[in-house]
Amino acid sequence: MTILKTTTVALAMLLASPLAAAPYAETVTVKVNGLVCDFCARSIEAMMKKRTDVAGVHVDLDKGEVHLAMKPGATLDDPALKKLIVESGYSVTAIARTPKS
Amino acid sequence: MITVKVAVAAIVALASASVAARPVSYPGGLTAIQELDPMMGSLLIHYTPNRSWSVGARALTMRDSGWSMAGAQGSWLAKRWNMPGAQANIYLSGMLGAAWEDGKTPSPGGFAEIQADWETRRFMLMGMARLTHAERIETGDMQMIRAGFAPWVGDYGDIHLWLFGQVMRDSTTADSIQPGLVARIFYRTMLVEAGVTDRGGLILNSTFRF
Repeated sequence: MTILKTTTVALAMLLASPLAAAPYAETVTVKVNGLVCDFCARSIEAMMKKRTDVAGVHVDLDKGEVHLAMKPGATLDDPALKKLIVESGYSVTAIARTPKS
Repeated sequence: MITVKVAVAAIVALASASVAARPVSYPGGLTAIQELDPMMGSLLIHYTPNRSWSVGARALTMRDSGWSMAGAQGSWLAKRWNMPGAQANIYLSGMLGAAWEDGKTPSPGGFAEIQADWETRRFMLMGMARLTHAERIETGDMQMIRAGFAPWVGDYGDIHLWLFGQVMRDSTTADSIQPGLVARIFYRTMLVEAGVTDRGGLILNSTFRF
């Protein structure tokens, strides 16, 4: 019984350890004004795709939001993110991050 | 020189007023805008180094008036309003180059233009006014207004449809005011417009961003 418990705990630790050691991948939600046109919002996607720290971009026209999936361990601070969105032609009203920094 | 003029005329004939697409894109963006209607044909290729302005090359021909122009164009985003459910813009553009009547020697010419738009996800209003001047060509002015709506509100990545009513006016043509109906379809960075004027004239515009 003890051997079984020890084996189970060891296996759980072995499975959990890579996850614990891996840096988290941040998700950023940017609330944007002026986001009404798919054709024009392509500018945001084009600007973000130039970056090596952004893994994915999604634009939600219904909510007026831009969602960014950052690469593990990467982050984009608020001033830099705001500058990118403004350069793309829009105004930033709020930035939220998951997990929260 | 005649060969060059024929080539320019051929390009713009295939390819007209500038409200089809915005003249300033995003930093690093390259855009090709082709326009054709009964009054004019135009091809503009522009590069946007900064979110406020773009530079490009344009060739245009006034099909009714019988003259053409080719040269460099600069455009400036003079003002943008970003609102929760809408966006509005004012652009100023200028073109400098060579202008010529069919079969005649080119002379310096250019135009100054103002363009404005207001857009929500459902409704759109656009307008432009242009003043053209060249040494051997009658100074003319041109205006265009458009109002339209999207029959359905598409999400990001969908195919989008817009329907517009528009009125064009060109002071240098005999048939100076021409109303028309235009359908716009766009997907991602490709935009195509097709329409018809009340005289049965074809309107065919397209914009591609790279």
